[in-house]
Amino acid sequence: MNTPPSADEASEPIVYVVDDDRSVGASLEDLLASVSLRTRLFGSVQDFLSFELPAAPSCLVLDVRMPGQSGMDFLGHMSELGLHLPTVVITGHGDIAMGVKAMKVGAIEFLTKPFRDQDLLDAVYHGIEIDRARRAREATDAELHQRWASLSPGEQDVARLVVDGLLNKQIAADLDVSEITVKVRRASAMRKLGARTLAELIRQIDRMSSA
Amino acid sequence: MKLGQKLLQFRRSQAFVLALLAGTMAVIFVAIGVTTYLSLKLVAAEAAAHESREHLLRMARVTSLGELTASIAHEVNQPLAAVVTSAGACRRWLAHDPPSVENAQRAADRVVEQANRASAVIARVRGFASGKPPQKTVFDFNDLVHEIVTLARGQIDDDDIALRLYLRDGLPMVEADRVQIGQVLGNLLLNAMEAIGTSAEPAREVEITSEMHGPGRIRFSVADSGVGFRPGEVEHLFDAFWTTKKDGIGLGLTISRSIIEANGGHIWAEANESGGAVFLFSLPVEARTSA
Repeated sequence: MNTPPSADEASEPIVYVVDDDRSVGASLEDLLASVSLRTRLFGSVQDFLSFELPAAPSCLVLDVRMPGQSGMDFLGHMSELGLHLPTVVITGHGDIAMGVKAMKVGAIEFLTKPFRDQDLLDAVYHGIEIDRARRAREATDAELHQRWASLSPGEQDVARLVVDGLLNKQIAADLDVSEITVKVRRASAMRKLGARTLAELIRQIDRMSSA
Repeated sequence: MKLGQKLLQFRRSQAFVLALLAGTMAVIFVAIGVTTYLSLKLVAAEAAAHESREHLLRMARVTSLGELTASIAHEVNQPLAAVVTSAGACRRWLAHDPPSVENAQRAADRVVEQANRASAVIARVRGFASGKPPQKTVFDFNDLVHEIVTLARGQIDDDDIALRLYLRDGLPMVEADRVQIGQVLGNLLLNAMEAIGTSAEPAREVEITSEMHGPGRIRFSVADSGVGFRPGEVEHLFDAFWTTKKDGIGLGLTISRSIIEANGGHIWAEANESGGAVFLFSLPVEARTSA
């Protein structure tokens, strides 16, 4: 809220509004600006797609009925396009069926116009948090992979067997190296992976193999 | 607390606008149905040489009402959304410390502008309903019947319907809104064809007649061999939102009645003696000839 505009562009949240009605778009931009959220307005899905998205936590506010591709149709294809933006669907003529469809294709919220300003802001904040968490998760995963890659093959072997629950003695026998070597590699692997305890090491390697 | 009250008030005024809208809805539908049909009808008349006629006729039907509900809602909800959102922004600018008066002012301006836009939509919609009296001209009624039949000819043939015309020669000229009456004719003819479509009877016949009805009126009738009426249905035929059709909205005959009555005529329905239904309307003939 109190983030000055000069804050790091990359980490400052951004809200994309795609609505062909200029007045609705402008009023949304104003509302979001009043709570210090920056906004990018687009008049169509096409315009939005031609914009290069910065790596900032974001949320998409998407109108259903627009010339060209409809918001609903676009939402259904977003994941195919590699877009993982939390999306708030807004519509001027919504019914239950449309709401159900919107949620099924992945909207985080469905609001019919005119919506309460607070409802929209809540949905947008929620969307930004979801996106922030996803980005943080992805960043951690990437870092973890990087760290893992910095291990020597020997260290990786030891780490795997440690996680499998083998004792140093067993690992030494398995890999046909001395127990001292196992201890050295094990300590080095833990240090490089930033794991202070065995439990942390297990968690990290588990997470990496599931990612 | 105060904020909550304001919000409540705002919601009320919004509810009022919506209630107002709902109140005029029936009239609106009638009017818009008419207008849309009319414009399409004109388009049809002009494009008849190039376009498939039955397609146009069907399009007029589909476009007339179902989609219009959504259109009106959409048209009004857009500015309303801008109003509510801008009002929210305005309140938030004022809650800043210090208050951002300039931004609040701009948001308030947008509230006014968009509220006016919403009311313009309603005014436009109501204009269809109340504003325009029928544009009466003097015309040959049988010519109009021929025109509408020509427009529907493709569908009549596709549906394998035998159409018989019994148009009385030498009828006096009619004085009414030609385009509106054309819509009623088209609507009644389509109803007749649909009634046959849903009937299992082997007979597929539509019979259209025109004749004198007393000294100053002509009478038109369209009789079909379709499903006919069930007991108690005849009284409701012209009620708004009353329909026996699966996908019907229940306004076609309501619109037809308002048109016929606005043109000084009368419309009614009877059971067809051989099964099916008969719809009839009367219209005043040209003042000069009836005098």
